[in-house]
Amino acid sequence: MNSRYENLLLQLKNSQEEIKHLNKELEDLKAASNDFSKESYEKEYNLICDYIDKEKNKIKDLEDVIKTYDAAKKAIERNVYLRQLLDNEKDFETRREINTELNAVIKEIQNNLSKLDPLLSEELRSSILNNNQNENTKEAQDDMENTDKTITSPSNNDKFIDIKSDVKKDNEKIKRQIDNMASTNFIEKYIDCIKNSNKTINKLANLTDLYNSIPKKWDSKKTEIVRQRQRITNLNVEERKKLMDDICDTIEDEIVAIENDESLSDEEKRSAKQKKYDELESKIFLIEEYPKLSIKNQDEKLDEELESIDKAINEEQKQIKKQMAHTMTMQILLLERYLKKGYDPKHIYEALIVLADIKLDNKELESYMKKTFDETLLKTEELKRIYISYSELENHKKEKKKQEDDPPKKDDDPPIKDDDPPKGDDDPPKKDDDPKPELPKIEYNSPKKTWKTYVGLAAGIGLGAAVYFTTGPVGVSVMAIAGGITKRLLNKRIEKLRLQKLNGEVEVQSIEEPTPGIKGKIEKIKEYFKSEEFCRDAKWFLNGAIYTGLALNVAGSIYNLANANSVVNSPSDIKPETITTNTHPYQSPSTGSADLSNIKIGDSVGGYNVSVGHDTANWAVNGTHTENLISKYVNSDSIFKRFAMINSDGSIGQIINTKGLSITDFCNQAGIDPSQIAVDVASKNGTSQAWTSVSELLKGVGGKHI
Amino acid sequence: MQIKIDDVFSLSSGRYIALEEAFYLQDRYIFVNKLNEDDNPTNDFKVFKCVNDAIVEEKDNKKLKELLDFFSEKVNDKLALINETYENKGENK
Repeated sequence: MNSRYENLLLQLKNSQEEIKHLNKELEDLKAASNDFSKESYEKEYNLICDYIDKEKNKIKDLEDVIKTYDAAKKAIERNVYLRQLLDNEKDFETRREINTELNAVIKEIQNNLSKLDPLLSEELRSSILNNNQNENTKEAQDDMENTDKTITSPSNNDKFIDIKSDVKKDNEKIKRQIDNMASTNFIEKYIDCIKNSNKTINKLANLTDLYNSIPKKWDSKKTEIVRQRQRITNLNVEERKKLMDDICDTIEDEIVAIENDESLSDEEKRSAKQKKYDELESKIFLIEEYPKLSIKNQDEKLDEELESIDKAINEEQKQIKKQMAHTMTMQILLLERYLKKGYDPKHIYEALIVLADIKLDNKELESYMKKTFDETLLKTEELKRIYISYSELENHKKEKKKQEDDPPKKDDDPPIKDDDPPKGDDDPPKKDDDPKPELPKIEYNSPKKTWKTYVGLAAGIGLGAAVYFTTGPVGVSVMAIAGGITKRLLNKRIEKLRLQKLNGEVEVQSIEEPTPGIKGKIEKIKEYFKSEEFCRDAKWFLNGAIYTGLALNVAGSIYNLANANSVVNSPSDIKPETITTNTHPYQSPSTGSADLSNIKIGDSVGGYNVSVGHDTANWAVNGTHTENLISKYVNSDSIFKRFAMINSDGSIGQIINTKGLSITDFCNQAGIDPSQIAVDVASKNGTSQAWTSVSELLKGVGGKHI
Repeated sequence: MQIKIDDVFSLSSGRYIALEEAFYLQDRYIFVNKLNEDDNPTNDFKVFKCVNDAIVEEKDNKKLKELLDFFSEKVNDKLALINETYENKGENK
């Protein structure tokens, strides 16, 4: 206690020193004012004046605290003395007088404590509580008073109130910090944000302990109430009357003490007296009326009281939850403010991670805190950006490490990814690397190459990916953001899909294979990319600010796909304006392509053989489960609805329904043999009839065969 | 001669391709990608400021931030286009 007192004095002394120092600075400033412009001088002057005012206020506060502290100390000494007196006193009347004085002293202590710093308050309070421990008597009257206090008086929730006020005070401090930082550009000193976040986590952990302890605390109160009721019911008439008289006397004395208390205003006296009357009334009911009730009514009465306790538990827990959410929010807002004031984004990110990785003893509270974190983060543009960027970087590093740990895969050209962490805006450029203008030698103009770069970028990050470029110590680096898909692109895509659906351009396709091969998997990913469902999911990801490695995994798959495509069709061939199908042969089919090129999606079957067919594409390619088709339904008027590419493991690699696409084109593009293709034959109105293989279609038709 | 978009040019530090251009604070800037020995794109991107016919690498982080935001937008537009191109190619398979 003394050390704290000394600390306060030290603080006071330091503040006075600070003021002296600032006054001197002010004088110096005045002296040097000739060198300043009027505006800058005034600015500096105002800043210093504000600071001095603040320091003065602090001193005033400290002086008040010391005064209150002294008063509390004296009251405590008096309290100890009175307790000793009470212990030695046998006479009932004198004991009552001492008790009255003791009550007044305790009230004074409580008043003083409430004005003091919560930490001091805790220290002093614990010393009082220690002294109070011996005060519990075994008599029914005291027992009942204690029980009533537990329900009606807040004094038994001291710890709760202390922590609450502690947190509240902290939050107010943070709010003041935020306001202060918002209004000036003045940052007092470098703050360790990670330490701050850790402190917040500790506070939240304390509140969680308190939250968890509430039901236990009230359980003992419930037991006490039940015990007390039983005791009163067991008293005989005489004992009850005596108890009643004692209670009446005590409360009357307390009322007299309230009336004589000069420190209380009339209003306070009236409310304190009213409280006592209410207390008396409830006790009269308890002693006089309660035992007369039937057992059923007694039980009902008891249930009511226990229910009210449950309500109180819920209310307290709700308050704590609210307090915790507020604490988390304030901390995030403070970090945002520090970020805006030029703190290192990496440092801020690490502080955010401390908050994001919160672990509490109560899972419900933990998830509630994480939700609060996400929600608050979403509201802070800058912070959200930093958080997502660094999260991605971390994920990427992990991914890279994992790849390094695993045996290297056979990749010709790794995807373009970012290796450099983004730095703060204020990073100075390297002095020794001062660039000088240089005359470039233009060799040629190549739009294809530009597109090749973009395709490389897209392949490295994932198709449909969005990027942003950042600066780092070694130049410009590229990053995929927000899971690889931006809202802007997603919205466009959703809109397009909707329109296509409305126009009937998009057909709902089902991929039937139970175990798709690699190409099938990539196809599935692509389908997913194209679906509205994905767009919604990805948006949800963004909204939740949850970053996972999903984008990078998908990007890897797409990159492989892009590589596979590049064998068939170099990305440099892709032009934005015209989308041309690659016609140069990659793997020539074993039959004349002219025959196959007439089998086109959307065209009618014509002279091709559709006498046999299969239920599935896989059976068609493998030539199993062959069935004769009824020519009444499946005939030359039927159409080729779609092609399916079957992998060697029997799975469907791809289903395509682009109108006008021929088997030859499909083979060239996918680099496959026609024998791997199944053709879906459908009625004119598009209802699928059967799957056939290319060789079956050619069989017996004008000598065409595969 | 002034560098245009899609130009492949060489400097003492290597060969580059100009991907985008922008005008910022009355200066012209180009966004480039370095090419490797096989003339393939690398993950080395740079922003050059055009000074008459010469160019100088922009290293002012404040300016870079503004410019990179702009270039990111442009690149995202291109990526959207590529995305559609790939999708159409996929549909054509």
